[in-house]
Amino acid sequence: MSRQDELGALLELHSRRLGRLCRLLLADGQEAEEVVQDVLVKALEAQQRQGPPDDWGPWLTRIAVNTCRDRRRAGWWRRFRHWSEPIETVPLRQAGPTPEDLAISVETRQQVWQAFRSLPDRQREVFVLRHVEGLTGPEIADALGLTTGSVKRHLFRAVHRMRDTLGDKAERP
Amino acid sequence: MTHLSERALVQVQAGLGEPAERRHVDSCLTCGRRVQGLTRDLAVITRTLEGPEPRRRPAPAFRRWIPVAATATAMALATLLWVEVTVWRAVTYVPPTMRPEEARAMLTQVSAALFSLRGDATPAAEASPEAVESPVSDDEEQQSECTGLDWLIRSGCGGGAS
Repeated sequence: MSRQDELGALLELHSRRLGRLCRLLLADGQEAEEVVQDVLVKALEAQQRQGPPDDWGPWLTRIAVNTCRDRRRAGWWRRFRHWSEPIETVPLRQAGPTPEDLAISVETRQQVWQAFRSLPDRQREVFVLRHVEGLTGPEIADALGLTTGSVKRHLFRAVHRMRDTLGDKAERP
Repeated sequence: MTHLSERALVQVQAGLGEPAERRHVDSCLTCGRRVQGLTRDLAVITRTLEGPEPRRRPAPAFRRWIPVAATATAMALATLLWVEVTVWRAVTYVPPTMRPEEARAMLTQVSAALFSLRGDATPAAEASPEAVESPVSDDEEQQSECTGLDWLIRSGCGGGAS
């Protein structure tokens, strides 16, 4: 397998993960696809310019998060345009609902998504990277350019607000 | 026994806790249950976020235009202010300011009217030196010329008619 093929396989492996990450951060499937394409182009350019990074995963995650942030800052008109339009309902991992998913009521699902969308950008990024992507604290700090202490603080606030949406259904610690 | 705070529990659950906090959770039944509850809630949240996002309710049409209307109003106010400050003042005739000698003369007249004992506005500077120096004797002379009901119809006789 040539080096280009290896790179292609690697990017194929990460593109699905990056797509899910970008959809969560941008709330727009089409824009998320564009960001993934941008990230892959940047990866190819970096590969040609300075060789592959030590670890593709955190590198691609960092580029994707930064690109999503740039899009959010620049896309106020796009957000206004899509404000009242329904966003596409693309399943992130599996096509059909599992029994566990069915156990979650529609009301809870809506409240969770509403709380997630109302989180500040930084808290949302930290929450997604930790609890959806499964990155460790130092990896998150490296991807977002934060200290580990900041990651802990953002994560606590995000978790606290997200748990509040579950209300009485959650047994508070 | 002191139990862990919610912040510490969140950090332990995320694998970011201190070793002492992790040991406490392992040994404390209460905190262990709290971590389990937290893990359960996070599982529900994560599972929800991994599923499809529910369709948003379309916003009413008027709500879409609230930001546009607010922006347009702000721009209209800014334009009005700009017109008032620059354009309107540029085209509006403003009389030239009073020259110093005119201002001095006007102020002298006002002072004379305010402080005159007779009520006329003759400037003190234009009055004769004698009049300025001895207004009382002048009044006395006029008073002496007043007879009968002159005070009613003649000025200077102490009456209100002028």
